[in-house]
Amino acid sequence: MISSTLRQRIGEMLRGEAAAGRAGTTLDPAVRRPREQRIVPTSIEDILPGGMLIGREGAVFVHERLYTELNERPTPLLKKYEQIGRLPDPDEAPVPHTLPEAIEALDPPERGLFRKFGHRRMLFLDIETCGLQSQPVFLVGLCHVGERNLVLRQLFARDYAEERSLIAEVERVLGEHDFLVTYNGKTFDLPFLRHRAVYHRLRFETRIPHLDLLWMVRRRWKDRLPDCRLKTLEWRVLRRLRAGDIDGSEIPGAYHEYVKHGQPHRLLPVFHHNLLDVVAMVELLPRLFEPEEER
Amino acid sequence: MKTNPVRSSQQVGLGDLLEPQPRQAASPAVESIEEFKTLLLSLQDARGRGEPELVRAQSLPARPARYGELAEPLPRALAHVLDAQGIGRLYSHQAEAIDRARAGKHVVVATGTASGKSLGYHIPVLERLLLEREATALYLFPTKALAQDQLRGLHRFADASRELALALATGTYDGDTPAPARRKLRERGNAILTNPDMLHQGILPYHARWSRFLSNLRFVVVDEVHTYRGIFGSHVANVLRRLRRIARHYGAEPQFLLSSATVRNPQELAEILVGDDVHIVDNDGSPRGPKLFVLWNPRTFGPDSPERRSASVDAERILVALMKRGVQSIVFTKARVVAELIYRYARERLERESRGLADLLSPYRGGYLPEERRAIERRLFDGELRGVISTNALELGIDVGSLDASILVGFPNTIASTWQQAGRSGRKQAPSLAVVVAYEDPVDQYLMRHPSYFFGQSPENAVLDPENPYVLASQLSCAAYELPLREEDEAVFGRRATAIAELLEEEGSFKSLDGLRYWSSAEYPAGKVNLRTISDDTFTILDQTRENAVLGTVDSISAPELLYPEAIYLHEGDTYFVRDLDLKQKIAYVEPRGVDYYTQPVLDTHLKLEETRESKKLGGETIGLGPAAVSWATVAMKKIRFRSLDAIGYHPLDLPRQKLDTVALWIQPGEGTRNQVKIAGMNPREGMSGLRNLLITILPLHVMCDRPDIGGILDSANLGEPTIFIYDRYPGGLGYAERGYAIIGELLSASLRLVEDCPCELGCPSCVGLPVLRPAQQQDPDLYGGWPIPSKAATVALLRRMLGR
Ligand SMILES: [Zn+2]
Repeated sequence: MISSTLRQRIGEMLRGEAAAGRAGTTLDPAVRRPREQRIVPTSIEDILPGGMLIGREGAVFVHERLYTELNERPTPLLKKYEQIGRLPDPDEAPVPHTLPEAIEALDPPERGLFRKFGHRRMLFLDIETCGLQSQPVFLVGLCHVGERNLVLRQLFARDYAEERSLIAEVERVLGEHDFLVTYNGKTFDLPFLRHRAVYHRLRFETRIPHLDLLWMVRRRWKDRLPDCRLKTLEWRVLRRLRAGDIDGSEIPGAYHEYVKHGQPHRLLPVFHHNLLDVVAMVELLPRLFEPEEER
Repeated sequence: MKTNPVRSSQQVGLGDLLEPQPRQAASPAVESIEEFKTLLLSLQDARGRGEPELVRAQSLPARPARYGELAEPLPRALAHVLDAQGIGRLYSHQAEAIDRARAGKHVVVATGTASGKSLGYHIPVLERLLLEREATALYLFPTKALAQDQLRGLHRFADASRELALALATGTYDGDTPAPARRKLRERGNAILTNPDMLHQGILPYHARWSRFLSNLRFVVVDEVHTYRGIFGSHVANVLRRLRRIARHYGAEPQFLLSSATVRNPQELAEILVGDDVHIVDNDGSPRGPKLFVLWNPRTFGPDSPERRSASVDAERILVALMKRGVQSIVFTKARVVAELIYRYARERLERESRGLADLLSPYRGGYLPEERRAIERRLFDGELRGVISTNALELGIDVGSLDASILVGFPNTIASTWQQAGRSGRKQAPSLAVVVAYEDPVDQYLMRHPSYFFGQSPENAVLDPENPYVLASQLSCAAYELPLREEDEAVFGRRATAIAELLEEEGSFKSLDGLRYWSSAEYPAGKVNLRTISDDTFTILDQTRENAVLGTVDSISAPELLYPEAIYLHEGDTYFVRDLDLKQKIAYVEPRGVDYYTQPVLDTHLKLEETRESKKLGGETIGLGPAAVSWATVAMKKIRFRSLDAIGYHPLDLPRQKLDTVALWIQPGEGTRNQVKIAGMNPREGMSGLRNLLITILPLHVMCDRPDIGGILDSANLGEPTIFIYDRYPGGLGYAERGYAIIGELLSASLRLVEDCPCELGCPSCVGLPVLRPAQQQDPDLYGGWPIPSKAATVALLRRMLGR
């Protein structure tokens, strides 16, 4: 577990102790090593457009993009969102209380759900974390349907301490929406955020109805796909290949490096990865309501 | 109040509470210790030549019960549970422990085996769970089996009171717990039983899921704390600091209730483990019948023959005689194979001589399936089994009630273990017996020649060092992963914590922000830190003739010593032939096969010095330090005929070596020094053996580890000349050899002082002889003579020359 360098340094520390005749409370100056010269640190604000958002728990960095900037032909998708988002006739049956109820009532197709809630109150979410448990979440990608466009926002904790304000902000945003769309969020993203909120002793009382696309995807395509990873769907359903994407296992390390050494360029692929995940969800959703294509 | 029909008229001590009135025999089979003595004398071989077997019979007096009163009465439900079982009064130590716990103190109870220690923690915990709906308690046991055993104890409590049953949501949480049960316990449990390894890897790193449980944590029960010494104890002490820190984060300050078996320093041990003041309760109020403690030395084959009869065979004769007399007995063996052999021999004899008893005997050891073990424990507890032959697996506090006699085959490696095993026999009033049957091993024989030496020894100190910098570096990493370190936390981890944290930051594992140190690496530290020196990996044993049904398990270190191809594996006395050992899948395939022999591994251990990192001169001697690889393997097997112990075959084997990469220090006496010893008429190599043994006694005192945490080897192959190597028995080393290198002069002076001050004449286990260096656990000590006690004179001569005195 202990690296050989650390082992060696502990040895030096012990010899320092022996020379001093006692164990010191901090490192003996003789043992302390001067910090190496670092590359001039820059921060993410310097290279990504965005701004600081000051919430009740402190600041968090926000980077915002519009769907029309990301896709050369955005109109078909925007049209689809226009369609699925048409609000229901007020004379129709009352709106069910929770999402499962809604799905139950309208199964199939799920399209009805969106008609009832309207797309403008829908929020897509995907998080990036430093590990699977008890580790900070540092980047939350969100997307909501705005006027004539889809608005993508990435909330970012510039260091471990800002995780607190990040979670508080996510909680606030969830409160402003009617239902949540994720990919595997019922198992991962939401419980993770909830645990981190418990850890920070923050309120996280959201009862927002939650549509986990993974479950719908499994029902529809499980038999025809090798697996149900988002990347696989991107390729097989959306017919798009992700190039130069960072491997998921490298994400925690990239963030730790950023916090320690402040080299934001190494973190850009993480922002990119997160954005692509959110965009994939956004593009995938209408496909789930389309009739089966014969290929 | 309605009188409970099960109320017995007999007044029973509260220690019996968890023991629902098993077989209280109407009258004991043996009424006085004189009868035991007569029985044993009759077993001596009258025709035998040589010295008689019974070397010493020491009687230990009976002790009456002492009772105590609680300062405040118990809540109704608890009082009812006690009342329902006909229990009137608490022993003085139980009352004191409960009073102190109720006063908010950390408490350690250190009283004898079967003195009702566990009540000292169960009562305060259950009282709190009854009074405070949200309250929770965490129980830690060193093994899963002990947690299971105490779970049954808690269930027995709940069965006696509806109110208690409603208030209690309990279960074991360990590697065997299925996922749905785990979730239920996390969400609703209020008394959770687990082990330190699970706390370290399965609970603390996931603390947010445990927030309800942790924020209401009132008590942490730590049972059998005497097992938490050496490297394991040093890790566990830090795991407990992590637990306190996380509990504090969620708003709780739990109180610690501990219990310990025989060690010299239970309070100090508890205080180091908890990191706080702990009140000790050691005034044992439980009653004890008189006990006869016998040292039994198997007869030599003749007055001049140094060779003795098999200790296993003598132990088996004593066991059978006691069983026939109606004395419920337990035999403790030092190796699994011995437990199997004695069972086999005793069963054969009983089938011939006393059929009805043959089925009332059972072996017991690690590696049996859990349900088999539970069944044996239950039958023993119910008094149905009249004899059991066990490894030290039953030395720990599994509640099997008290027996009438314990037979120890060979002296256990520590005085504390000896008393612990001997204490397994001894009821409240009836007389009991403990017999130690000696091997033909120098240490056992020394103790037989000097019985007063044994009775005069106090149990060993339990030593641990939570501030060991290597342990601390691992544990601080785990702690920071769970929760960033604050300055005041670092103080909790001891005076070195900040310096180590600075090194971890320098290395890039930590990052400081606004006075907090955060874990700043993608690694998962708890996954890489093992609390124990030996991993708890297991091999599975499958019976090929029963569609690969699982026969048992064995730990991965022992597997190649027990289950090599063509080995005979003994299971409940039956012989199984090992067809194949799959090291990758960790499976051994066996089939039942009736043979008249068993097999023994021939082990080969060696140390390879990787490089000399540092060296220095001490007079004419060379002292060095460097990384070393200790490796061992089963290189051959011997076939041994049952009972006669004749060797009937020898086959070389080709198995991969197991390896420990560690750090070693060495002492290479100069040629001049060796010659001077030789000229004085002594063997320098024997002096080196003596010095190696002394260092294994002395070094732990200076580096705060347990003796088995270090190893020692004499070898000429590495450096071309005879050299003493002392190494850390932990992957990567923990700084013991390193520290030893730095203070070598001091160690040698201390060694000389110890050996010169020892009152023995030629050398003894307290100085140059050493009980720890004994054959591997899988070997039958009957077949190996053990290491001779090296010459005291040669050791003194060598040390004097080395120190220039
Ligand atoms: Zn001695």
